Amino acid sequence: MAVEGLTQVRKSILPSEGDTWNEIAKRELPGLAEDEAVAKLQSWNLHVFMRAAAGMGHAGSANPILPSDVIFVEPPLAS
Amino acid sequence: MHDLVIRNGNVVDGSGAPAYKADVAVKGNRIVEIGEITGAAREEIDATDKVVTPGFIDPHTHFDAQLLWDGCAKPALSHGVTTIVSGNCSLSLAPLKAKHRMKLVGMFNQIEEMPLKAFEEGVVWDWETFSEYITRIRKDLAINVAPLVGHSVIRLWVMNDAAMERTATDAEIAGMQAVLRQCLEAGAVGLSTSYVDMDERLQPVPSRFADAREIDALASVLGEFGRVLQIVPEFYDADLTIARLDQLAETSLKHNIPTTFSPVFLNADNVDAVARVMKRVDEQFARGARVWPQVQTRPIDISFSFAVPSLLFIRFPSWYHIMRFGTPDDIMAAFADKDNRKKLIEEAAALAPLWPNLVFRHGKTDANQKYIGQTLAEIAEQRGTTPVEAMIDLSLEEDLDAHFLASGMGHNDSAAVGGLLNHPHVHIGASDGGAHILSFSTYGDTGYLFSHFVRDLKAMSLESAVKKITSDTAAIWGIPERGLLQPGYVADITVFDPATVKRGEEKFVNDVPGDGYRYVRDSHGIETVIVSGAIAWTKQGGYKDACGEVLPGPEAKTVAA
Amino acid sequence: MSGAVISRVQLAATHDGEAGLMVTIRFENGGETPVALDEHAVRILLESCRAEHPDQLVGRGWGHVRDALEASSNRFMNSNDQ
Repeated sequence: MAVEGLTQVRKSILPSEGDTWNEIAKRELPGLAEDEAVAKLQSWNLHVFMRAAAGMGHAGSANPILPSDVIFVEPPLAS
Repeated sequence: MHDLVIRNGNVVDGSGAPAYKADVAVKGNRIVEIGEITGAAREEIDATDKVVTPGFIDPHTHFDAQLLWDGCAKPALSHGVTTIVSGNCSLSLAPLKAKHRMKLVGMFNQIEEMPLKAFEEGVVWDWETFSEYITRIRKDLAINVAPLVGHSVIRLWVMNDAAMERTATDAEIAGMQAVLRQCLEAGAVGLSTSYVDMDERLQPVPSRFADAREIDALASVLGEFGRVLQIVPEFYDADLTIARLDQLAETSLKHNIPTTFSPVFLNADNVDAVARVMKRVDEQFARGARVWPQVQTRPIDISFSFAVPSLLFIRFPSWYHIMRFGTPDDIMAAFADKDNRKKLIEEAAALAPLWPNLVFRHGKTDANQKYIGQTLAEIAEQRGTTPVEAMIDLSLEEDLDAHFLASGMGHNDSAAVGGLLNHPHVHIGASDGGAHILSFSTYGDTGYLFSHFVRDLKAMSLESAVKKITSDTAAIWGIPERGLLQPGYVADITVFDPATVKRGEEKFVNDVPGDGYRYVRDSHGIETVIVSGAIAWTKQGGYKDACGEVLPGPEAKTVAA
Repeated sequence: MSGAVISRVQLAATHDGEAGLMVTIRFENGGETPVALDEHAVRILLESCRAEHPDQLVGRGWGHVRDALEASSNRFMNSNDQ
């Protein structure tokens, strides 16, 4: 939802409890095949891979998304 | 009779108003009179041709450990800094249970480069709560400290190891709120959190496992006190920084608190990105949010030795290959081999302007101590060789433990940085004092502000620069009765020579407990530094007994908005 | 699959006083995003793209960057496993 006085910026979400790439893909990009949606999401969110991927649970866990991560749900805006 | 009178100075009072000639009288810890003061005083300072300003406030430091063995936060005090904000980036040393001490030591070692031996030999662990830590540092404090409490340590206190594994339960969030409330009541100036930092295992620090619900709950406690939230966003990406500052803005508006994020810096490739961030900051301020970006004054230097691979050489395949894949013996052999050396020198010619300006900053042999601080051009001239060959030879002579500095490689466009520092919503800070101690000096940024941006470039007036690092900072952080020279205010005062003030050359000194070293800079042109009415440092006499305070202090409890 | 590719590679001074490589990814809509790589990730990226020089990374797919970042980060994992 647009806020008065704020220009449009790149759309992002914060993950919900237990979110995985697939969960976010299904929720945020429902019109795309899941593999394609996950690939798009990952390409828009390379910062998530810029750290040891222990993520939630314990070292070695398969889910690299942290609860505090900003997850972009669209590509960078063209200038 | 006054306790102290500073006579004949140019008073730059921190408000931004034009300088004026006056005397400043102090009684006890307060400024009592400014003007022509005829009465005698127990102590007098002649400030003819000098400026008299409020003491500087450094809003982004990591002196938490150093304060345990050095209540002056050397050399910050000698640079005219009378108040430091510690505990940034989610890390403080309290509250801290005994069982978590080594965890925090590891984090301070990883993130701030504080050696383990410094903790072993410099720290008596006699606190757990925030209140006990404040009591501990207050004993020897000569500089004022406005301590943030770190989100990561609050998480550890309440959740133990789970702090590094998962989101908090409702009960745990309530527990963290209670702990934060105790810390604020004990004197914390606010809360710090980080979305970037990694711990000693190179895993995300505990604060990064918090969800939005937890941040909101903690911010609501900050709102009860009107205290500050500091964050480290993903500063390398403007979209991420904007997303974080939008979150901060909502938090600021909802809980009526000031927020600040750092660092923001300008590199050649991110000028447009910084402009976008600042546009968003302006938009959020227009909505009433307080989201202060911190910008450092000093340029960013790159340091390297040939003992560790550096991307500075990434465009020189022969150099990079030997650094990346060679053992120290391989590198030494490659440097010593006549043909290889010739090849390396030819390849380096592509970056001809860089090499002469590199500085030899550290080596261990006695014979090469005379070159420390000199450029490779200067060293090469003395040796009758070329700068690149001088770099190779020094590395060989020092068994690769020769350290070089490429200065001003980032945040170095003075016109652009000057414009940014002048921006009304930019908070000058991000010095990182007390951190990165084995990589570069984090002291003297205020001297650089006055010498480079005020005196040399005339990018700012002296009055504006002083305001930015005194009354503006005090206002942002809710620190009452400091940051201005006016009767009734606490006498935190810096006297300096505007014609000579600057940061000194970087030097490597052995003054860290446990026989440790760090990079520091001396001050130049600072004459006298006064903390709470007592002379804390003079150019002639060095450090004196003074009594720093923990801020914002009890008067600030009702400060809000 | 996303068609985003590396469009620019620049040496940058990092906050920590080290040299880093800033790789810009360009998306099909023309939008661009920077990704900061440390020395270890750069080495893996160069190897995976069979590149000798960073300029040879231009035009390569974003997946190489993701995999390099992940591999670089995961080098700490073995020592961290409980």
